[in-house]
Amino acid sequence: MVGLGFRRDIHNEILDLDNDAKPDFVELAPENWMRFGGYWGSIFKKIKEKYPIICHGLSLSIGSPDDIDDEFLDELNLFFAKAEPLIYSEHLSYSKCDNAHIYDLLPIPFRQDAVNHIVERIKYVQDKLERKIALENVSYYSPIGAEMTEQDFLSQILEKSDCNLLLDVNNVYVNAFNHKYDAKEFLDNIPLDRVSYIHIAGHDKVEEDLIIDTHGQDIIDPVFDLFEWTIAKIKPVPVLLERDFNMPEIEVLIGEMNRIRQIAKSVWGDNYVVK
Amino acid sequence: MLLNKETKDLQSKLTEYVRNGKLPLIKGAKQDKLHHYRRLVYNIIFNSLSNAYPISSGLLGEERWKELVDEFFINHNPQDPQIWSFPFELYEYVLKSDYSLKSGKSYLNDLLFFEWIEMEVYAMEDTEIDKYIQLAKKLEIKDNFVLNPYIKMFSFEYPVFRKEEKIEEMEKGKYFIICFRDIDTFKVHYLEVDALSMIFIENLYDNNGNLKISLDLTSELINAELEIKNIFPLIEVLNDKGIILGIRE
Ligand SMILES: [Fe+2]
Repeated sequence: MVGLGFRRDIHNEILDLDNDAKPDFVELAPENWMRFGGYWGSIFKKIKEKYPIICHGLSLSIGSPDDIDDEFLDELNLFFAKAEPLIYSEHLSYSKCDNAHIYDLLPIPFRQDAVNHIVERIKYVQDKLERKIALENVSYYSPIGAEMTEQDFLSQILEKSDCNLLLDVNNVYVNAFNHKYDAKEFLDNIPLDRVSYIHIAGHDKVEEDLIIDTHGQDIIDPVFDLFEWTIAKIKPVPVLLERDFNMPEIEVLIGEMNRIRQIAKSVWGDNYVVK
Repeated sequence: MLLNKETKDLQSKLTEYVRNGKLPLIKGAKQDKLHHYRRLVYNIIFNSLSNAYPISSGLLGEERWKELVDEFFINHNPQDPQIWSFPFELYEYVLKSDYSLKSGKSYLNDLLFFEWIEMEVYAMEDTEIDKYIQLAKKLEIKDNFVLNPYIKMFSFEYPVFRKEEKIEEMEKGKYFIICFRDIDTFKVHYLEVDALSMIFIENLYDNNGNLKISLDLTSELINAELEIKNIFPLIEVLNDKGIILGIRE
């Protein structure tokens, strides 16, 4: 299963895709579609008719010091009843603090108390939503007051809670570059058996020693290589091509999806099906 | 709470920085990389607000608009988990802070609301619409209308919805506006009406499209006996625009 992020700026193109060019699923952010009627409500119905949906959230803020927003979880549940997502994933980061949403992903301090805090919140959210969530390893540009490695932080959270991992291969590549560690060693030291979903994307190098995870470029070969290396170690899962900015022609995205599909087939076999 | 105060403070420090742009010393951080967080967050906020308010931001000019966004993002805690509807909070902030008076742009409250409401009506959640038949040439007092549910009614001090007039020269007064979404095309339209029409339409909406009750209530309010024939031209307009959809089956 290879999917594509559903972007409004290319919604007609995505809805027109068929046969070999058709993604196996689309990913969308519930926050951008909940409580929406009218034109976008009608487009949502078309998406639902044509594609399985995976929901990738933005505002849960699992790493926040602020309380989980129960009203928001209720809204999510209402939306999930309509979207029937295969997976609900979120980011292992925080986007709300001191009672303010900031609509972007900030890095959580890699610390023991943060691990415990997050593990408790994952349980709370999963109970409320009556489903498992998959948390994504995010890219970060600076650690904040770290007392353990990113690898230990992520592993502990996965081991102490029963959530799944959305493994963003590009983010592993970006973080390994930015923080000077070995991507494969990192991957070998996290519980890869918990991966339930994969992201792959492009990025931008903004400084000599800094890459930003922009989702605004084509995927580079080393990231494809890391993807191939990684999936040999795990069971088949859905894989998403993430592209949010600097949108190319739809053919370029189809080409990238095909390449992902080819790699997946070569590793996981022809009958690469996800259950 | 399992989170230590120190960890929480670190998270607050970073959040404060992305909101106010004043870089503090943050334990264990690459100080020279933190500005990317400020830049990324600020761009998201700035673009979201600028896209929601293209006319208002244009009229204030780049510098003043940026000042307003900065002030707002420092002083106001965004509450909406959905970024598409978060710009409404800027309107509320401006309304509460008397910014429009202080900035000498007294029309700004109306203009921000005008720009916001288009988005809100455009996105309004879909609801079931009752079955209806075409409006007859001759109405009967027992008729019940089915009304377009995607509608907001409000009044302005400035006619900011009039595209042909220069906003700086608009006359202060009382203007009644209906903003509605076409049920078929999803396009959002505006209709300016007089005070009496507004009262009648509000009564229609408050009474589930019941013609008799709406006429009676409106008559009572203006102290005059309204009949169907007095209000028929307005009903035709509302039907033509797609506000009155038809007669309930
Ligand atoms: Fe991702």
